[in-house]
Amino acid sequence: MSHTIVIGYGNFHRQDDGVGHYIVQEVERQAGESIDTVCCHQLGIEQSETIKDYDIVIFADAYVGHREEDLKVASLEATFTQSAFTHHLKPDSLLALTQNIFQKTPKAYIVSVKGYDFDFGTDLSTRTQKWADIAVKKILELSGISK
Amino acid sequence: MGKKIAIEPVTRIEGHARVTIHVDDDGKVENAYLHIDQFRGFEKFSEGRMYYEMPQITPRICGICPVSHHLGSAKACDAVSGIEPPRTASLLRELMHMGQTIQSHAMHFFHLAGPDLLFSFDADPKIRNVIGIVQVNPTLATKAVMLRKFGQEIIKTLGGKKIHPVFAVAGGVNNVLTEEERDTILKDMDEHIAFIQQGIEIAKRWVRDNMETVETFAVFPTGYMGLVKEDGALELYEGKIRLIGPEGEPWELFDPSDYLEYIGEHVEDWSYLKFPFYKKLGYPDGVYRVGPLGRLNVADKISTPLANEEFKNFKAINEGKPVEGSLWYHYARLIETLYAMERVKELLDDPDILSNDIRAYGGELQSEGVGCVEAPRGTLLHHYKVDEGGKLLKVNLIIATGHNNWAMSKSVDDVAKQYVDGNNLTEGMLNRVEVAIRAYDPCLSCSTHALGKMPIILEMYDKDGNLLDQITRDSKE
Repeated sequence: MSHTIVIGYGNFHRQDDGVGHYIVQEVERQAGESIDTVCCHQLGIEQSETIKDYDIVIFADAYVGHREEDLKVASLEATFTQSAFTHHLKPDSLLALTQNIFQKTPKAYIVSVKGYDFDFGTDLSTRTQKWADIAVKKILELSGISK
Repeated sequence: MGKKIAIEPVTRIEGHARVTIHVDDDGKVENAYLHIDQFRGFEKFSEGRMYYEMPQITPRICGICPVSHHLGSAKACDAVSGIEPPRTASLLRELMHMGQTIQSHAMHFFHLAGPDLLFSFDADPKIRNVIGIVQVNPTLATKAVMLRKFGQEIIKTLGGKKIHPVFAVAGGVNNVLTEEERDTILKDMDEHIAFIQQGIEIAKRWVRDNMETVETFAVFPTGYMGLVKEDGALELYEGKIRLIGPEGEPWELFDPSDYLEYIGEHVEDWSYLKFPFYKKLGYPDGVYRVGPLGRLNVADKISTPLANEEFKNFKAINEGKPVEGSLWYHYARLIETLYAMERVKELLDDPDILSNDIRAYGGELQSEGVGCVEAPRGTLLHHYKVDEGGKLLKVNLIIATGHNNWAMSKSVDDVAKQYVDGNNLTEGMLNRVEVAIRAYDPCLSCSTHALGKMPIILEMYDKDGNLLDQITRDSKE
């Protein structure tokens, strides 16, 4: 079985922005030690040193915007995009950094769930939670835990 | 039924930087401004909460330097609760603070500023980034990643997670350091010190090769402010605040709890961020700079040997007087990184750091308290007033980036006048304006990444206020 890590990121205290954390907790509960997991606020350059050792990296995040679908699962290419000041990286930029520094390019996916409520609080909105549960099933499929 | 308070507009919760440049009929720059279009409301919505919640609430101000808010807040809570933390707790807090300084400074120099220095201000943005650095110097890039990771791991070891740790509480901390954890942190210390010294050589080489730019790019007199130890040495965690003038003349030396006596805040109608100044001189005569350049300008020496040797070179730049050029921030930042790394070793070599005596109890509640640390970007002040039950009545926060507000805007104004051609706005011009802001490492970044966006928008107006041209840099570029 492929060695997989799921990285859920976002602000746990801003409701749906914490959907990545929720997904990681559910993956831990359902997959046990067969999948490694990380929860974090944002992606940083130092995580390239972590993901270089995995076959599959799955990023779980909230999405806010005009896209219609509530859940998007897409494979990621290692592509660097620069922003002026931000200290965090987008997942495709993190992959590009990993590729360039460590010559390792794990297979990567982004699982993003649309968020509806970003108010202060730790509960997901009903609709985001429903799709987060579906996202967990997709992640288990991607990592070969279930079909 | 409780009331729900909405803070609008939500898209501004993490801060935006906007630069406006105003040109005359000939396309010549008349004025340029840095606008901080953010309103967070932390001071207001914290009112009514219990004071001891603040070390967990205020780090949410920032995803980049939450440790600084966490510790500044805890120190204010110490004062409110009337409890002096045990020595071990102070050592552990300072250790976490050094981890924060190292990771933040390393990130800034090698990831954010490094591309400007290793390439050129006019280089193609497609290569003028961290990947470009990896491609021309993979070893340097790898070590930079490991240095950042080192700082983050110190924070995680003590506080359970790298961002928004849960560690400092009123009267101490809630977690001990084990011998095994100490030895793990100490393991690669010499390698990291050597790497920081390599970074310092890169910065010095760049200065030598670009001296004309360094001597003319956003160079102007101000006051300077930072914490110092009792003997005048650089200090990042405890100490008194020293304020000096443009020639190095002493303005004030005071306990952080007396800051209201010396620091005022001016308001301009074009920015949400206030403009702090030295009260006795008023605004703008009393503006000052903080952060690495401010701290090294106010310090007489550094208490660790390697950093102090480099500090002597820094002091020689302007023959002992304050160094004015904004680009010197990069060099100062690396000297501080070296100090922080050496200080980590000193702290870990102190046998008391492994003690279980990490929290004191039993103080008498005070009506107010001030906490102060030197955040990576400068002096951070937390001031809380409470009622007889410990409920917050008033909160005042002066953040590091705020102290530098005037200087950043002045830098933007100077650089725009020096480099921007109103008839032909180019990416290189935009980058120079960014370089001026970036030197200060402003913390306008996001703790709510899904909502927070950090574009810089450069707008050019004619004398009648009509928009002539605009360049927007966002994460897609």
